[in-house]
Amino acid sequence: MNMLNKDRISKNRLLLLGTFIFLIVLSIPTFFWIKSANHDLAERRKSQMSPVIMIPGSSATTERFNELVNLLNKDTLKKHSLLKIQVKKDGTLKYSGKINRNDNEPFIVVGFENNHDGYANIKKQAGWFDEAFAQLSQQYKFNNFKAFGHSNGGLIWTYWLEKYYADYSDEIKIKKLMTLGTPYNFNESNVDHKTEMLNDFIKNRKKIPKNLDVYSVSGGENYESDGLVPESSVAAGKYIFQNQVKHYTTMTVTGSDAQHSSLPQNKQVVQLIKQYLLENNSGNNIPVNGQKPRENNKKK
Amino acid sequence: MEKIIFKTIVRLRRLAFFRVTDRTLMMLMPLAVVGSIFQFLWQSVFSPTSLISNIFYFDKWLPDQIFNASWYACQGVTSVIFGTFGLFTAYFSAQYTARLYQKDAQMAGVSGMLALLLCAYRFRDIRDFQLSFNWRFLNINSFLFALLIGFGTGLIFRFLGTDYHHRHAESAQVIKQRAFNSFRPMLATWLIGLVIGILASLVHVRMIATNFYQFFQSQGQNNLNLGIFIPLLLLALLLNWCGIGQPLVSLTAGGDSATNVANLNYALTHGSSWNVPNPYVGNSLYQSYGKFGGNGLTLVILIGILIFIKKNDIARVARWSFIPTLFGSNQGALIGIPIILNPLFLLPYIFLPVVNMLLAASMIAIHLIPASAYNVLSGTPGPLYAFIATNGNWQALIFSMLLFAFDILLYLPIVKMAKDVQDEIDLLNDEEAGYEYVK
Repeated sequence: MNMLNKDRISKNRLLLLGTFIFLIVLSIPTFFWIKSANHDLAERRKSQMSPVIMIPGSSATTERFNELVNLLNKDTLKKHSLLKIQVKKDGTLKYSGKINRNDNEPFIVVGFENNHDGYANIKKQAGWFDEAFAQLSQQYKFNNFKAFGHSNGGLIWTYWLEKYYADYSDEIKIKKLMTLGTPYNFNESNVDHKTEMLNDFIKNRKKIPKNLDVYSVSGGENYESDGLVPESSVAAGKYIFQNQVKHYTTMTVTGSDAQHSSLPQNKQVVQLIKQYLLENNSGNNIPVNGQKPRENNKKK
Repeated sequence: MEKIIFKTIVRLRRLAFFRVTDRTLMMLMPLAVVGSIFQFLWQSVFSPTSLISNIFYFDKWLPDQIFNASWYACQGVTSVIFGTFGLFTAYFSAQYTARLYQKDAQMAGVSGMLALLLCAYRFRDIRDFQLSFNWRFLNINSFLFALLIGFGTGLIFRFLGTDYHHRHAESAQVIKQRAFNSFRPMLATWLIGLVIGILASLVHVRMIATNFYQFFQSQGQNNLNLGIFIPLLLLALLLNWCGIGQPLVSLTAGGDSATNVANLNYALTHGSSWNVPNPYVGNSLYQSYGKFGGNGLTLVILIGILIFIKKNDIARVARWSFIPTLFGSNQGALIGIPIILNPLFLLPYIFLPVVNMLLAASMIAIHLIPASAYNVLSGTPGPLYAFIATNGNWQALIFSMLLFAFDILLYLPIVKMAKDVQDEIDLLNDEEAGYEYVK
């Protein structure tokens, strides 16, 4: 009996001692992990950067928006820098261009080596885009951004929002989404014939964030289409966004350069982007009445 | 003084209700211990947001299939065991009550189980004629409810049943006799169960219960300051000690309130949590200093037992439920020691966490430790919680260690008495067993 007792005591003590050592050992990696996690979090909170991330349509490359960015930079003191990322088929990223250090609103274009059309491909491209987005968010630690998609680029955005965005939504806010000539129902001009993709988008619409502003811009070369995408296919976006996001606004531009492929160079479109997508913070750098800095001083 | 407490406790534990509770808890101990081990694996190891899976970078090297399969397996075992816990509680509680009064125990157990199911049945929810139950009433968090139904069933058998002594070998004739004899008490049980069930459906007990729980939940989400939080916490801990766990779970779940976010934002922009705008958020104080692994300082009780009790089955249960409790899954200890409905643990279980929180709040007030404002991953070992919630602040770690030691010292005399009480009761039970039938 006595032997048994001793055995039991040591078992108890062993467990206590073991736990104690385990806790100490555990606390060391935990300490470093928690420090770096909180550091990351702090950098993200402090970050002033709010990039505009652009996805071109099918068959287009990362150079697709060069002219658009030129036009946007033309009459403004605040020049936006341009970073271009091409995602290869195996998910590796190829960078060109750069973000200027003091640029709080850079443009980032994400294009794909495989830039073909079709729903199956859009799913793949959304996956590739997610790779790029994960790296970007790691590297630049922005806490909000604006999204722009031309043609199928808008479809990739929609798919990504429904499938992948939840992974980031705690830390990164998507403020606005503008799609340009995006065929939500592909080339189908009759809304009663919903494609598999549109059905999927409608089925998962609840995953799209509620505080998002969505602008859907279509081109009108004639009364039915922009020469490529039927107007009703663009308009089908309402079944996805309306009554889910904060505001869903549709606009149609006509006149010169209203053809599907010319839309990104259209002067009206450039105006719309300036007015609705970009921050209109010309006065941001000049404090209006000095309230903000004083508040900061007090805290110090 | 000590003698008076000792005598009162022993007398209390000799009451029929507590004797039945004791035996029921004993039989349920293996279920609770296994359940809590799986809950620990589920929430603290195979959860993507847990500390262990993060610091060992499971997402880098452990294949998704294995990780997900383990998650599902552990989640399933935990949910099934704890989700149906009430059934077994009702069974054993009815059985031991009937046995105490020398009635047919097995039939009583079955009746008790069915009575519980009748009470939990959704009489007005008969879509497609599928069985539909209020699973919440069968959950381990409604333990007291099932225990009382079982006890009531046993009492019905006491008054309406015929005397019966269990034998080792039964003839078919005896079995037939048993079956016929059990008609009366069984029907009475079900009738009462049916009435309770239908009444519960009619007066929307479910809604009342839901509102009651939701009250705690919304209060918890508001993340009140200490003054309002502490009375609620005391009530929730008392209910938890009785075996109604849901209010405490709801009260202490919320972490994303506006006050917490404001604290976190402040801490992140200023690099520390020394001067956060809301330093006395009730729930974050409870998580950091009122728990130390397991609600009501369960871990401290276990350490007291392991230090003090050498040769006892209690020590074995304490060892088995130690690691899960360290990570916050304390059902094994609550049922196995037992702490639930054990009069001796009532006061410390309820009040010691609050004492801890007040001490910590005063330390924050005199700026010896910072407030807990940072995010903490699930499955963080209790004693390290404050350290992590202050972004690795050494003062907070040292203070929580001192507080922890202080709690253990306070608990030691209680653990010692718990052992004496248990010995005394075992002795009395043995004496009884000497002259009674097979029990």
